[in-house]
Amino acid sequence: MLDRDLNAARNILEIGRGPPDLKSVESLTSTRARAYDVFARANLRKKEKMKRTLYLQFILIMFVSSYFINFVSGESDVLNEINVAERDIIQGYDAIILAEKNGVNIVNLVRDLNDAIDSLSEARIRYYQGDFEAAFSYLTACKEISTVVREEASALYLSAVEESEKKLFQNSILIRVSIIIIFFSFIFIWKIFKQHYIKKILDMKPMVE
Amino acid sequence: LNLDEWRYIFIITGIFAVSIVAMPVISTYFPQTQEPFFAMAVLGKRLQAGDYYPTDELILNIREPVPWNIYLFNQMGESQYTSIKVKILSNSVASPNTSLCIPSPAPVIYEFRNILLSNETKIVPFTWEIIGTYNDADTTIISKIKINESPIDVDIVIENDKSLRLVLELWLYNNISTEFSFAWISNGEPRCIWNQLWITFDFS
Repeated sequence: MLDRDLNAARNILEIGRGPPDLKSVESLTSTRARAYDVFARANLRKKEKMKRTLYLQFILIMFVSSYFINFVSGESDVLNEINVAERDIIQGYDAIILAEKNGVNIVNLVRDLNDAIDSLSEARIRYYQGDFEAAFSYLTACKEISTVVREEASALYLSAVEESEKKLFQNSILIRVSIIIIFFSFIFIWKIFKQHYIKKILDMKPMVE
Repeated sequence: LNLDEWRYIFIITGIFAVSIVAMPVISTYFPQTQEPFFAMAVLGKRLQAGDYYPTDELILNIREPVPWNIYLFNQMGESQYTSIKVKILSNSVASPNTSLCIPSPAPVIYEFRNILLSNETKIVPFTWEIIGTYNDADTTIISKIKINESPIDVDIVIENDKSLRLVLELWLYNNISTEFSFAWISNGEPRCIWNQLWITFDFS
């Protein structure tokens, strides 16, 4: 359509520029005016088309860049989440060690935390493969398990500390009582022994040869 | 024995009896000490120290799975967060240094992490295969390895003798430095563990 209009305008101008004939100056002027009018309209259409093209290009660039930004931000998000999950596992492990030192049975806690570690390994593999969605789901599972383990280990640690303090108090009382009993028992036994010994000495008769 | 001698015997026996009764409390101030250690070994497919290679020869082909197992035993006195770092070394890359406990400078291609309970033994399956190579000038380069079904991109140059070393380093999490460490202290001396197996490739 645009090319056709431009060609039409060129034809009109060619006609207008043609060799002088019997036509009047007025008709030549009107021909040129028509040609300029067609040119102006064609230029306007061309500008509009360029605008549309630029607009479409702009939208396309925005779409591609937003996708790229999403990709990059998704990648950095996964990396951040991996670091967070790693920290959660370490905190869970620290809580387990603390509980273990206070005599808590940590077998189930270690088994669960190993599941979290496996999830983190899977998340790392998915991350390197570029599957960020799967990596996120593994990281979510990892963080949930780690948090549960940490909370459970901390609760068990507190109850173990309370229990051990109670046990230590009971033991110290028992030991003190035992020491007192042993002490007085020995004094009592010593006195009986001493009496028995003195009596035995006194009952002894000198041997006459 | 006279009375004074009997008195000494009674005092000594009394102290001995009190010590026995107070032993549980005294023992808490003198905890049992034993040398902490950790054991790691690579086992073949039959969980023995043998049958490492698919055939009797020490030669591997591309796309030939190698089913190994890693044996771990924790006798460190408490649970340990472990990391086994897998590295592939060509002849020109230095091995880990046992006396100074310095790890190999080669990059880690895979990592197994596990928490082992005190006195626990664990077998970690470790199946690997080379799935991608290419030639660059006169050298062959391994570009892809599969470990436990996970493909991994690598860049390992195989030198002329076509042999490599697969090294496993044991790293333990250190609560004080809050990071994994290749060395730990046992009886005042640094200790570290690593295993290596030689592999020769047949690219024909």
